[in-house]
Amino acid sequence: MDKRFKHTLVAHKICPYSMKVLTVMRHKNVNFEIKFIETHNKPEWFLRISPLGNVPILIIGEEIVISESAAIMEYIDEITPPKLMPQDPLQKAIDRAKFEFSNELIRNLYSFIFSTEQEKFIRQKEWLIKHFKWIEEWLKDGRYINGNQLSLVDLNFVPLFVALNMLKSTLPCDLLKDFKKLQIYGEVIISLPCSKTGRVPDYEFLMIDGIKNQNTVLYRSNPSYFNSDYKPQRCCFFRS
Amino acid sequence: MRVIALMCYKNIKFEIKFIEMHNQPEWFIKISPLARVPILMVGDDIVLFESDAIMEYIDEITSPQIMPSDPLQKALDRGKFEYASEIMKNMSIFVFSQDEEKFFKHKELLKTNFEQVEKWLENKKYMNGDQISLVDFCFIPVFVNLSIFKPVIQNCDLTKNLPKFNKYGETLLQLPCSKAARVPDYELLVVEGVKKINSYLFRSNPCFFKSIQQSNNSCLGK
Repeated sequence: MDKRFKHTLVAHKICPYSMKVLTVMRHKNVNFEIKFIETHNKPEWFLRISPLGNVPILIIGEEIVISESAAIMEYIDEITPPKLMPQDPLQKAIDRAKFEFSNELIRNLYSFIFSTEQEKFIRQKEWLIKHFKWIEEWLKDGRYINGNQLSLVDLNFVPLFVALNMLKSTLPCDLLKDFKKLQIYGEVIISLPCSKTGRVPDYEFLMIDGIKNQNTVLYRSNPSYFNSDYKPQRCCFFRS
Repeated sequence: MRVIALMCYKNIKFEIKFIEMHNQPEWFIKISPLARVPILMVGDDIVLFESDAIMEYIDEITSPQIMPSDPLQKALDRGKFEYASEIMKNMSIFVFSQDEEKFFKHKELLKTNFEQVEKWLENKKYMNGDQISLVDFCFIPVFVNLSIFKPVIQNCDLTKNLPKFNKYGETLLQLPCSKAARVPDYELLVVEGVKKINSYLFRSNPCFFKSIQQSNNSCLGK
């Protein structure tokens, strides 16, 4: 293959923004290589090319680097028709704002999951529930946010529901308890094939490891669950 | 500020409502999902949020478009939108932090940020060549704020040896939309904020802030 068009995704295994991009690339069947890095120990070559030192980045050919998950997702969408992004400028603007909303949601969810202080844990939980209301409102009658067809904005919510699904058995209460539409939507999102292939096989294992090792509130409130012999579900990441 | 600059550049008719961030009105909280500004209300029902989304929308409904059409170039520019936002975050901490360590840490971050912008500019007038594009609007607030604190910034050597960066700043600040994008009392409000918080920047530059206050007082007297 012409090296100029080689796509290399640089990601971190449990990074939700990396997961978003991976999900889109799997959905669109893009040919690409993937390199995983440790965020606590970023390699020199990575820091040299990533302007903000963040993952994910997409390297095109040998030299061109795109950063920011939203920018990468829209780029992938545009070079692999049919596009998942709507055509109408107003609808595009509405969807793009939701990309950022999903980023904020996942930021707070991870903060909640890895919280080591009880007070912060409760505050984050309240913030999350308050903000779930918005998505519940956006989900009118269609299967997806924009009706019955999947659009790019839906793939932005994959990491949210993957994480929530993982948490189901550990939380004393269901965060989505009062949100019927969100529960159904969540099921739809995590059943998408790209949702399964869009994460590494050891995602759950790494998350649980992190929850344990950081002595989080979540771990302390349910140690027996985290200390039991947990076998993560295998996904077909490497098969295709 | 980036949104207002763009709307002025594109000659869009719009109303503007200012709100207090520390005392957000009820009607605003009800319609802004992340309780952030800016939001753009289109007609009576539709609310757009996130400055970059609003900017791309404005650009798309008003020709000629100043966002490139090539997908790769668009992606590169969108990455820079975010980079400019990161610069603003670092500047905010640099200006408002009360903590000496944080101040110096963010000063170093800003230096790295400015060097990156210098690198991107190469020998171009704007980020993408001779013509202005959407990404340039994201850098307007950076230079507006740098100009407020010019003598202090110069003392810190923050913009030393960055000729392309500085020239770019001059170019952007001279644009009419750049002047139209801020309220007349913008500088005063920022300086007042810095004083109130008693940030490290304020404490280490008392003469500078006193002189701004004096010149503002004399302006107001007119």
